[in-house]
Amino acid sequence: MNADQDPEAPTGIEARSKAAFDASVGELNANVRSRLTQARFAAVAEMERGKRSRWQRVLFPVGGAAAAAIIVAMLVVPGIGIHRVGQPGAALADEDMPILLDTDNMEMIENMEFYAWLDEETLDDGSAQPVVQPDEPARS
Amino acid sequence: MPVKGDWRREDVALGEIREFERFLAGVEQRAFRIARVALRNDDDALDVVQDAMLQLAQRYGQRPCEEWRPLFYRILQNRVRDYQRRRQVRNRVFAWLPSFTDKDDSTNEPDPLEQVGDQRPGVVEQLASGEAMQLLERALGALPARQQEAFMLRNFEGLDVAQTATAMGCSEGSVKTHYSRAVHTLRAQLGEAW
Repeated sequence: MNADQDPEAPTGIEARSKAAFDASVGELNANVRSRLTQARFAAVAEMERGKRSRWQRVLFPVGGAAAAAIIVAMLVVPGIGIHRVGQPGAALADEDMPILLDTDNMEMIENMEFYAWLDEETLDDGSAQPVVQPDEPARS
Repeated sequence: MPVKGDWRREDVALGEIREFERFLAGVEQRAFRIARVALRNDDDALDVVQDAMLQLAQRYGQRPCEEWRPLFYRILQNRVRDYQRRRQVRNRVFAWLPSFTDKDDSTNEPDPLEQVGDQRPGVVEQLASGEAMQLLERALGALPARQQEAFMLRNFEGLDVAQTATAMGCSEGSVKTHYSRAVHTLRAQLGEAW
């Protein structure tokens, strides 16, 4: 026996089995190779998805909390964000909060200018001048 | 700096994904051959390998890459056992109806695409190694399942005793026993001349 030979190295049937197996792996046909490659791509895509969703699980709550904090700050702190239309710089009154936060009043928020005008008209109690079109001659 | 940190995180994630792909590319063909020996059917072996890859990605993708190999083979062996069990049940149920029994692979018409291969050795060597592998597969097929697993993982895949124990879900002592018995039986069946 060669003194340099590894005593743990497989000999006889183990070595021949390994050689036969390695040869058979090298002889896999194109169809099998192709399907294995597709399977590998699917697994890698799955791992990418897993990694992305892991970051999303961390980042989404943090981002959501930050956005909520900004919205609350805009609504609560005077002088930031929302001002009454037609009254620049005016802070939002506390009694308006429930109205603004009510989802049924989204239409009102979208047409804020119209409601501000309507409010103005009501306050004037009918004393407002009628709108005069530039082309129209003034009535005496 | 947060931006720099983001880049670094992204680089690490990309590196892990590339490492994972390299790992799969390194084991897929050998894993297929091992599953093929156990199941004796190309389609079943491919399904099992694909399942094992996906499960590894879903469940253990975040684990250190040194752990992937034994974990992958553990999943693979579990899936192989599932298939074998299912096949046994199916064969038992439909045994009385000859039309329902599994067709022998040798009777199937060969797919012309499957005959296409590349990087093949010469015809004589191929025939010799192919014949040797056929004999070996037949002998391995006659072994008890656990001995077959231990032999393939230790000898074909080159896992050490501890990794084989992890892959088989048993003690290292059991691995040694199964492997030693498998070698003894194979030697008796194939003979020293093989």
